Formats: sequence, C-alpha cells, structure tokens
Amino acid sequence: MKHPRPPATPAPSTAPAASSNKPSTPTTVPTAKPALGAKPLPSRPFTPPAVLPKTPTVTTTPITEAQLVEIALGKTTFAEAMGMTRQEAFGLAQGAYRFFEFGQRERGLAIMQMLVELNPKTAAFHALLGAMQGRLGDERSASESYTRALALEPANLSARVNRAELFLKQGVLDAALDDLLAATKADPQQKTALGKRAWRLARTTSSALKELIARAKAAPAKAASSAPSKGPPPRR
Amino acid sequence: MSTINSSVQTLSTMTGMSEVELQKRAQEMVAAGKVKGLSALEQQLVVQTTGPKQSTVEAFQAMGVGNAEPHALEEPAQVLGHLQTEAGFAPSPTTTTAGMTSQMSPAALDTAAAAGQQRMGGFFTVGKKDGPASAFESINKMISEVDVAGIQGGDESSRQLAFEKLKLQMQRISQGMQALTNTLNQNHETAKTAINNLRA
Repeated sequence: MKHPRPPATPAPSTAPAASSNKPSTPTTVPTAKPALGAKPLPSRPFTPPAVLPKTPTVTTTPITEAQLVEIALGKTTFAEAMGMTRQEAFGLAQGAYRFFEFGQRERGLAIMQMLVELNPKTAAFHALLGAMQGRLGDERSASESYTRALALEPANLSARVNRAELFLKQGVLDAALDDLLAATKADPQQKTALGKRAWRLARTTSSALKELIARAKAAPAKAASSAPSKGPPPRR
Repeated sequence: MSTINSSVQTLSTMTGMSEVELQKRAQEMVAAGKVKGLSALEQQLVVQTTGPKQSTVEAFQAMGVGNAEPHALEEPAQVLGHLQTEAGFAPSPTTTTAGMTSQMSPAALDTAAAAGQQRMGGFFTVGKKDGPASAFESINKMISEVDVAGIQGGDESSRQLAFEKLKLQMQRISQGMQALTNTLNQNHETAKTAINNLRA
C-alpha cells in the first residue's frame, strides 16, 4: 500500500533555535552532488542539541605528605582526602559492575579493588568485590570480603546471602544457618531479589536439614533393631 | 517423590556433597549441640509465613535454588538509592530523596564517574606530567621518606606496618587507575573508528 507523499516544503535558510532562550547559530552541512536522475535533497541546517552532556569540571589538588600520614594512620580515607563524593565513587563502581557483567571481568575486578582501597568504610564495595572474587573462583578472598562487609554493615543482604551460600558449599552448615537467619530477618517481606533468594535458600536448607537429622536419629534405632541377638546362632 | 527428599537432593547439588556426607554433617551438628540455629531459622520461617501455605510455584522455585548462579552481584546504582551513610566520602551537596533518585540515573552516574576519574587523576599527579606510573613512583618515594619515628601516637613498629600497608593500597589503586585509563583509550579508539567509517 502506497502512502501519499507530503508536499515538499522549501527548507528554510536558517533554522529556528532549538530552545527559545538560547539562540544558536546554525551551520549548513554541505551536501554531496546528487546522482543522475535523483531528486536533490533539501539542505538541512545542523542545529546542535539544546542539552549537551555536561563535561565535569572538578578542582583537584595533588596529594600531600600530611594526607598520606593521615591515611596511613586510618584518620581519613583516600576518597575523603581527594574530595570524592559517594556519587562519584558509585559511578565508578557502576562502571566496574558493567565491565564485569559484560565480560571484562579482570578490569571490573581491578576497578573494584581500587574503590575498596579508596574508601574501605563502604560495605557495598566489599560485598561487590567479594561477589566478583567468588565468581572468578577465589572463594577464600570472597569470604574475607563478605566478612569485612558484614563487620561494617551487619544487615548487608548481598554479603549475607552470598556468604551463606559459600558456607553451604563448604559444608559449614551451622554458620550458613546463622547467615540465612540474619538474611531472612533483614528482608522479612522478600521485597528484594536477594531477599527472595535468601528465603528460598533458607526454606530448602531448613527442610533438608530437618529430614537429614530425622534420618540420623532413625538410623541408630534401625541399626539396633536389625542387629543380631546375643544368643547362639540358630542351627540349621 | 516427596518435597523433603527433593530438598535434600537440592542441598546435595548445591553443596556438591553426597547425601551420606550431608547426613554425617547433620549428625555432627546434633552431637555438637548446634541445632539451635536450625530451630531459630524454622521459627523465623513459621513467623513470617502468613496466609496460605507455600504455593506450588514457590516450592518449585525453592527447588531451583541450586541452579541459580552463586555470588549474586548487586548493582551499585541500586545500592546508592538506599545508602544511608556517607562515611569515608567527601560530603555531597544533594541529600534529599529527589536528589538521590536523580543521582541514580545512568547518565548522572556516568557524569559522576568521569568527575571521579578527573579527581583521582589530579590527586595522584604530584606535579608529574609523565603519566600515572611515574606519579605513583613518586608517591611511593614520598611514603618511604615519611619520618615514621616523628609521628605521634602508637608504637613505631605498628606505624611502620601501616605505611607498608599504604604501599600495597597504592599498588591496587594504581592498577585500578590503569584499568580505567585503558578503558578511556579504548572508548576513544572506538569512537574514532566509528567517525572514520562514517566519513568514508
């Protein structure tokens, strides 16, 4: 089906400004010579978009010896010393997360390790670093990172659920149960994806352990009932 | 097959241990008197399970727990939305809820990341224009030259240890910055290639 063509309107020599407040100078883009037989395209003036992404301008000061001493003594963090806000740090963390999720795992990990050094007081950074280390197979470092995150923020759900899973994988059942209990308390309504995961894990582990313990209790009784009597063996 | 048996199987798949091994661990737990954790967890599950019993869908999902990829990554943008503390960071100008929501947008985070990168570049320069590697070298030299004995508080050996730790921190920061710089170069190259392709 053919659609009716709109009537051709002559292009204005100068385009109106994109925003009425800010007049902008349009630039005419030179058009290539049209092919033989083809209709020449009307020249369209190029108008820059009204909102261009802002280039950040931050005032920076080089590190001093006094700041190094304060950082070494734990009185301040690198982030504080350089004036880095949490949004800036989380922006970098988001970049690291994206790298990791889209295949550049080593790069994502390096950026996360840097962020943990810049501000070791943020539990979320330790938790994310732990998850990255765990996915790369370094479970010992992952466990340490989760523990650091939980020391800073005991209600950190991500670190709690991931550590519980790690404990389960290692067969440390009692520690896993403690973490699962804390995780289910942190998100009792299962509002987050991690909370749902914690509840599913808790249900599975709880019912499995209940059954295993019941089996363990039943096993000696069964063994006792099936054990041979102390009397002499029956004669044939 | 009952649900309980499936739970044991799921736990077995998840832990990579046989059912026999799991049973042994459970027995050890009972022997060591560590069943308290299980009782507490069960109580929590009962208290919070209001309304109807666990649905078939939920039971099915619980069975799939073993198949989910472990070490879940939480997106930093989401964390920033409910972050209560600013400990360890410079104070940020926006603290209102509306401000926080706008801070979480991808564009705002990208801009903030670029600002953070600039800030780090300026901070770790130390008057050197030869690149980050030489800057970090001079910072390490600065750390070595700090008069540890002259610093007040604590004993000298612990201060020495703190400065050794600082060198390690600097190394990790340097590696992270290198990863970021490579990214920028790569983005620049990609953009250049795209522009050249358009021109051609």
